[in-house]
Amino acid sequence: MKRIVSLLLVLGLMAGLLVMSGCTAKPKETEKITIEYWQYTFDTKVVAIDKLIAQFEAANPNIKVVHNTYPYDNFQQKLTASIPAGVGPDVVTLFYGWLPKYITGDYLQPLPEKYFPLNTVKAEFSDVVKASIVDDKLWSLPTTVRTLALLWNKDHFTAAGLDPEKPPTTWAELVEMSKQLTKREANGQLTQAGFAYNTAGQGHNWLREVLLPQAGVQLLSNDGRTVTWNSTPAAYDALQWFVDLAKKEKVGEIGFFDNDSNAFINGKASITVDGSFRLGTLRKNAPDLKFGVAELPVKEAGDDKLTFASYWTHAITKSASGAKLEAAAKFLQFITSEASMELYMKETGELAARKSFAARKDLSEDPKLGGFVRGLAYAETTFMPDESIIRTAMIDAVDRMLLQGASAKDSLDQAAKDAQAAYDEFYKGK
Amino acid sequence: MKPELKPRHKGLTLRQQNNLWAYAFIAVPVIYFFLVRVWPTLSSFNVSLRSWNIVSTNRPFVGLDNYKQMYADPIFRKALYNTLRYVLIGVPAQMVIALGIALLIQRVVKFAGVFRTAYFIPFITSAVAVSWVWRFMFMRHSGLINGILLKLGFPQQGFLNDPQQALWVIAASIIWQGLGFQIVIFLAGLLTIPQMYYEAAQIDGASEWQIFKNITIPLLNPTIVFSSVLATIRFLQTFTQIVNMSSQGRGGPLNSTLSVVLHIYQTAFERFNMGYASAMTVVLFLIIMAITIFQLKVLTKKFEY
Repeated sequence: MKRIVSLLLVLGLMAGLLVMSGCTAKPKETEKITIEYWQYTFDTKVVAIDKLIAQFEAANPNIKVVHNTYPYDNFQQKLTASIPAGVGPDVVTLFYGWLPKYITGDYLQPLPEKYFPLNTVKAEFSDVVKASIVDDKLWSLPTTVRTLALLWNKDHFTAAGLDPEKPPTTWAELVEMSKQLTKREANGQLTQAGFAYNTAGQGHNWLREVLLPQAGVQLLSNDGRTVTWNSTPAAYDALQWFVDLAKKEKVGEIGFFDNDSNAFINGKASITVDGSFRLGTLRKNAPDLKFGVAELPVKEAGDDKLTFASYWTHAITKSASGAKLEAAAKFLQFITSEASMELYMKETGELAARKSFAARKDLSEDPKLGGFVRGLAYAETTFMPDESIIRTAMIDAVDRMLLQGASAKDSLDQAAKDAQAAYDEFYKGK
Repeated sequence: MKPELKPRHKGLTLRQQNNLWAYAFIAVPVIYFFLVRVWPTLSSFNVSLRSWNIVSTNRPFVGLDNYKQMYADPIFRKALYNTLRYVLIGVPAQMVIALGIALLIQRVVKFAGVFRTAYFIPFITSAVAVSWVWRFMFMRHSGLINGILLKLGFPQQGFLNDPQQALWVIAASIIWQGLGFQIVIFLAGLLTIPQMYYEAAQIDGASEWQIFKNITIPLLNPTIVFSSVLATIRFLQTFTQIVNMSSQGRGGPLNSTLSVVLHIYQTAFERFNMGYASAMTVVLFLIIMAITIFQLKVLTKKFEY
């Protein structure tokens, strides 16, 4: 009997939700609009958004925001499965490299011009956000962006006789210092990695978006349709340099302490290249670790600095219309406001996406955040039609050389071909 | 219509009434089976002929394009090759080991239940948990196995980071985990062999090996067929262990552990290409069906004693 009653209750609730979601008429003052927001589970981000939702609901008593999170590994699977089922979010946070697939799939709608005038956005948001503009329409906006920077363990530096306040600033210095910081047992087993080596972490981004361009490589043809990673011989040298960190200089190994961030957090690796999002994790899991943050090293002293920016970005799906669309737009406007960015930045360690923050001295001179914030001024982001194909192409390029002894030329040529497939697919028929 | 115990129609005999009840009860699982098994299978045939970005409502018909793409896809070929390796390594190894252990357990008088339980526990343990324990054991650094190798003076091995070894490590974990189930099946099969054949053979002075070869194996044939079919299907569908043990869960390094099912999953849910993923599903379905029919036809033998 109890079961029947609860079943009826659930059915009634579902029917109620259906009626509500079908309702597009302007609601009365008393009627509550519910919108659903989805992101992947990342502790600090979940906490930040929960706080923002509480503020937003207090300011907009007739809007309720349901916050759902799913683990990164099956986030897209949950999302895609929800679509044919006719459920799913009104506002969703996606990785910028995923956007094209959702736009061509006709899943998203452009952000309403009324709330997000394109010119204002271009003027107020970091240039990194340009990857959200497709076909002259704005499809998403981030609260924060992330840049890559170099993190180093000060205690390791001191122990190895290096100046703990002088991180490497060039490729050569990085190799030299890493060698001095690497420790092995008599049988050759690595006990401390000078450099936290892992292509699959941020390594593939650093290699593709920073090391290759630093070596003078243009990543895409001028029309953006052809992958030109291997357009100059210097590209092969850059790849070789990255592979040699593990192969020749032996300052790190893939799989050491499972992965790069684990090794650094546990004080087993001395230098790492990672994103600003790691600050939150470091604060939580390794509060006593003495580390510094510096801008990424350049190839030769005096070269222009470069870093890679990427971002998670909020978009509105097709399932929001009428009053729900209004509510969704208001919510998105709220979580991308200056005040929200301030809170979000504090919680997660990511960098606010509005230009107004870049000029703030308290941020750019912050001992931890500073290295990332200063990078925003010169950060680059390349349009990626399919992040997973491009990531895999780069990881495999390194693996072929490390594990199968392939040459840099063969391996990078193959990687460029693998990545080209993603661009061909995206521009098919355009 | 709800069948009633008391016949309203004069024409309905007791037998018909009983049948009606039977059909009513069978209808429930049949409908369920149709809805969750047959219908999705049929619709994946349909989707395999379409180009469908999963987030889109637009699914244009493209004929056999997806199948042509598959023919030209080196990763699909690699995944197919790996999957066959999983089967060829896993099925014989699992069956031989399971049969051996079943024969040993059968002879144990004391604590047979303890052994049976011990071997069965891995099977009821979550595959994800088992995979991670194996992953930690086979880690290149500070992994248990490499620790032992180093102590014995052998060089450190790449294991899951080595394209030559990774598939073997994953296959070994699947073999180990499925062992308990196969042992229980074999033990049940062994019990069905009448004791009198063994007694007769012993009186005739047959050796242990002769008894095993001429009595146990032939009379165990139905069990062996059943076991091998189940094991083959399970190895053809390998997914969980690869996701949790391979580097980055992507079937690496260099696709050396990628199975067809994982490739299908990545195509569908990372690249959103449902049409192509469905086409691969259809091919996998046909392969599984062909192998199963082959096994049932070829392996099943009738023995008369």
